[in-house]
Amino acid sequence: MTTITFASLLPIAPILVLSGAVVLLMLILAFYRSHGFTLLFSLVFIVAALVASLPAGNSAPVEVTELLVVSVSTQFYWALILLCTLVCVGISHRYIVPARGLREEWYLLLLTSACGGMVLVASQHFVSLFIGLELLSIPLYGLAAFSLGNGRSLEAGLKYLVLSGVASALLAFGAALVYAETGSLLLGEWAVRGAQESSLLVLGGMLMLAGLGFKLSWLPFHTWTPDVYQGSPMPVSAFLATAKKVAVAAILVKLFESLPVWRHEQFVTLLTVMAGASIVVGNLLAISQHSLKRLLAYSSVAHFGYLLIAMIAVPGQGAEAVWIYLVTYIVATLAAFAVLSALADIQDDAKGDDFEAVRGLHQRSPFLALVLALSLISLAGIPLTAGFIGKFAVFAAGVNASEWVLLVVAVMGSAIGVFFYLRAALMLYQRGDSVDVVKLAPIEGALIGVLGVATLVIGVWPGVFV
Amino acid sequence: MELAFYSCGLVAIIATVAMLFSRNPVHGLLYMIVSLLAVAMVFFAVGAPFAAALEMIVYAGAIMVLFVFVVMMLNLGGEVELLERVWLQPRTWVLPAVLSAVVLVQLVSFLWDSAPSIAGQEVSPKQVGILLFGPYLLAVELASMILLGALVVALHLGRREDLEEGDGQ
Repeated sequence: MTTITFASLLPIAPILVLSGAVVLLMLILAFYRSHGFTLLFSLVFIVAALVASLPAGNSAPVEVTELLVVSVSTQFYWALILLCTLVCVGISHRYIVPARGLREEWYLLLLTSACGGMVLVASQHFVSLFIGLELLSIPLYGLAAFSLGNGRSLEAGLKYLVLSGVASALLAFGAALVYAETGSLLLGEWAVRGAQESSLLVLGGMLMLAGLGFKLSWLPFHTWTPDVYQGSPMPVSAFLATAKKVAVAAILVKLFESLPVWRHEQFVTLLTVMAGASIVVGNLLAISQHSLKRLLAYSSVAHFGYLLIAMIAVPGQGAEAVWIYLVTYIVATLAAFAVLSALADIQDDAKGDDFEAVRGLHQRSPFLALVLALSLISLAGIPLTAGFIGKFAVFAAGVNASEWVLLVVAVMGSAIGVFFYLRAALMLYQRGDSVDVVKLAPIEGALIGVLGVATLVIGVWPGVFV
Repeated sequence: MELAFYSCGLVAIIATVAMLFSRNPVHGLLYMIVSLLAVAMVFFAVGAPFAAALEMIVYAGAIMVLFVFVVMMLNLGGEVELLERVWLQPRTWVLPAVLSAVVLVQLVSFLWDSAPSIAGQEVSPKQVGILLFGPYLLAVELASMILLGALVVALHLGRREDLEEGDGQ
């Protein structure tokens, strides 16, 4: 047995920085409460963790105890989660100023949740996987219901709590069955000992897939998504749609590598059906929505259907396509949520949510209308935006893995998608009722600007982030 | 030991199903406690006495506290006495009593002559401690982070709004 030294913990420095920040912030809040200071503190520590997570150049994966492993892809996902958290924290300040009750816990919970996501993507053992997943989810229950006295928000928190709890139970049960067959909780051991046919493995694999499928809201586990997105405060919906999904998608890629049972023929058929259904149903249900948050929720259902095309191809070149797709998806989604959040505040979320409230946004703020339109076009996957590059990567992976049926479905889904994304984008340039000029906080404006530029730059010149 | 394992496992399943179908929250909690005790006996049988003790202390103990809270909330009006009379009908207490008796018999027979566990080896508290504070140290620390997050959530949601005028800035 090896002892844990300071040097051996160095590879997980970003997690240590972030958890240190959480504890420190809690202690500070006990004595001194200041909204502005808390924001600054959170931003500084997220940037510190981001710097610590930059790849150090050595490409060999480093194990930190038997629970965690840090490789280049882990550091990439860490950076992605931290960037999402940075944006969500940045757009929160003005948004939660009118909140009833105390506000500083908001930042504490966001940091805790990001910490959980980072543990999740680094885990190589089911214990750390489960703890990471719970650490990611539990603060989010509170954040979803953060708006005290708002029935919708409370409903979102409660729904999310119950369904997420059920999903976690399914996941744990599935892992117990896999453990019964393989005698190990190490993901690496699962890959070695789980190769034979066995009904326990199949059942365990199914339950784990259902548990994680809930978190990524694949069909048929998608029903909670629109309600929770709509009820949650805007930056929380943004966090749910980006950081949380990135973390779960990253661990799914790892599980695709370490659960041979998921690559059996029947499982591939099952996954194909799930992916196809997510794409078709997600896009179809998005058409009839009159709320931008619900539209983005169904859009995320469809987008993770596309992502599943790449995941099915994971033992091949799927992992890379997943990276690229996630980057392009989160840039566009964060930009959209940042703009919506800039229009609303925690007491009146509908100002950035209803189609009628957003109609004619161009008159009120050409800048916001442009970025929102750009992000919607990017989500539709139209060339010269980031979304196109992501779709292209996924389709290439699908072609290499010969998933022809799924590709046809994906193309049809994209065609439906173009319709409602463009309709929403056009609506911003129609004549609207409201003429109030939107007041932006400087940090919000900067973040929205950067995200808008990133959507274009990645689309025009995809070489930048390779 | 096999007998204890299977009979207590069966008790746990019956009690859990009964919990799901009981309309009255107090009855449900009682079944749940029986179920937890039965699961603790299952742990005993497979050679994990420490886990069994934790199951009883933490789960059954914590659930008992919850139980008391629920009873306190139910004791609101004058119909309490009537309610208690209804609760004491045989058909409400016979099944839990039988289930608990099965668990008790297994426990007593286990204490009478301690047969070896099914797995053939016992996991002592010392071994659990060495593992928790050795290779799984990070898991323990991360679990404490989960508790911190949950505590802050509970603090925020449990606050009374009317006490907060002028709080924060």
